[in-house]
Amino acid sequence: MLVYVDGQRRQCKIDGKIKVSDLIVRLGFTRETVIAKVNGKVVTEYDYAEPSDRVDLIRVSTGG
Amino acid sequence: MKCSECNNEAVIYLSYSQKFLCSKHLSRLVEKRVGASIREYGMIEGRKRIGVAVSGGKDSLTMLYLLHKLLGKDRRLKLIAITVDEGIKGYRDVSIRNARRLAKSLGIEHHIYKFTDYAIPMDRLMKHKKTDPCSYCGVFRRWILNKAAGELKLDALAIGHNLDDIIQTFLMNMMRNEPLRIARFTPNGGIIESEAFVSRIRPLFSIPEREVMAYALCNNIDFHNGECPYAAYALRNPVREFLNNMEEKYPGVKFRVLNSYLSVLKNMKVPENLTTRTCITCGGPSSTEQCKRCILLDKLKKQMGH
Repeated sequence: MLVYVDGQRRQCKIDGKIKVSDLIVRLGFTRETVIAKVNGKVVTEYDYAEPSDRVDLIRVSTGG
Repeated sequence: MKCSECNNEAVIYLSYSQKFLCSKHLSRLVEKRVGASIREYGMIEGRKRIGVAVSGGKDSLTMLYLLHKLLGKDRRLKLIAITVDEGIKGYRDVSIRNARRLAKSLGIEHHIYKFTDYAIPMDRLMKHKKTDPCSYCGVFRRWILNKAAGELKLDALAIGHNLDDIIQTFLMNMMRNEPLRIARFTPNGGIIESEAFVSRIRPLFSIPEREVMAYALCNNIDFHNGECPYAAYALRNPVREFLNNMEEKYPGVKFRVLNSYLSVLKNMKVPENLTTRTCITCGGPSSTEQCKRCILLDKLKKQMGH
């Protein structure tokens, strides 16, 4: 699975299908702080990602 | 997951209302709420020239897009975008491109005001002063926005503060024991009516930050999502983290804090003798003899050997 946070590649070893909310926690974020995209489509934290998917997490609070 | 309103795929789960929403229904909800806020607080009543402060980030560009969508057909109104360039290389120069692109695509006049012309660029300032950059930046930015608003003869200036920004500021002002700042930070206008000070309006004040982001992504708004290199110094960060953790554990807490803030605002007794004076240095509005921008600028110039 290819995982990116704000466009930066993150190493994350995942075997099999994973719930997006679990992936968010595994990468050290909380539901409130990111929006997830799977293969370019915005999804909810209740959706799943497959090993062949590209997952993008976009941090909600950046700026200054 | 399916949308709670239709059969489309959901893009967001709103835990406070236990609803899944697709792109169309999220957009509809956000637009409805922003429209209602504008009407309820009379944000454009009797106003013709509305400035829109755009940094190029998700909040300000979403606000510009929404205001154009909701008000763009009203021929009595003119939207004018304003960007302040604080002089932060690799951050603001990038986001300005996003602001410029959206304003151009919507056919909205866009003006850029620079710290170089009215203050000290943040990169230069940070070489000398390593603490509390947000205070300096905020004072200079507000002063420049007010100057721009005067020059462009604006009746109001729209600021892209979302629900999270509002409640963070509310809590920060309580932590600092600065109740007058709570009174000043309102959805429409402040506590002092003055020609020298252009009213701020906050059309996104009832939209949680996460929904602003989802709206921007669903509507293909091309925003800059970089982080200000100096933001780590801010008190806002731990307050934001606290509120996010609370919302995660107790969904709806952010809306409840917002409602508390609105109740406090309604019931606040503001001293009647508050007036605006004119700064002896720049001639701008000030609560003291010299405005905060000029005080800071004088101090910095001395420290930096100008």
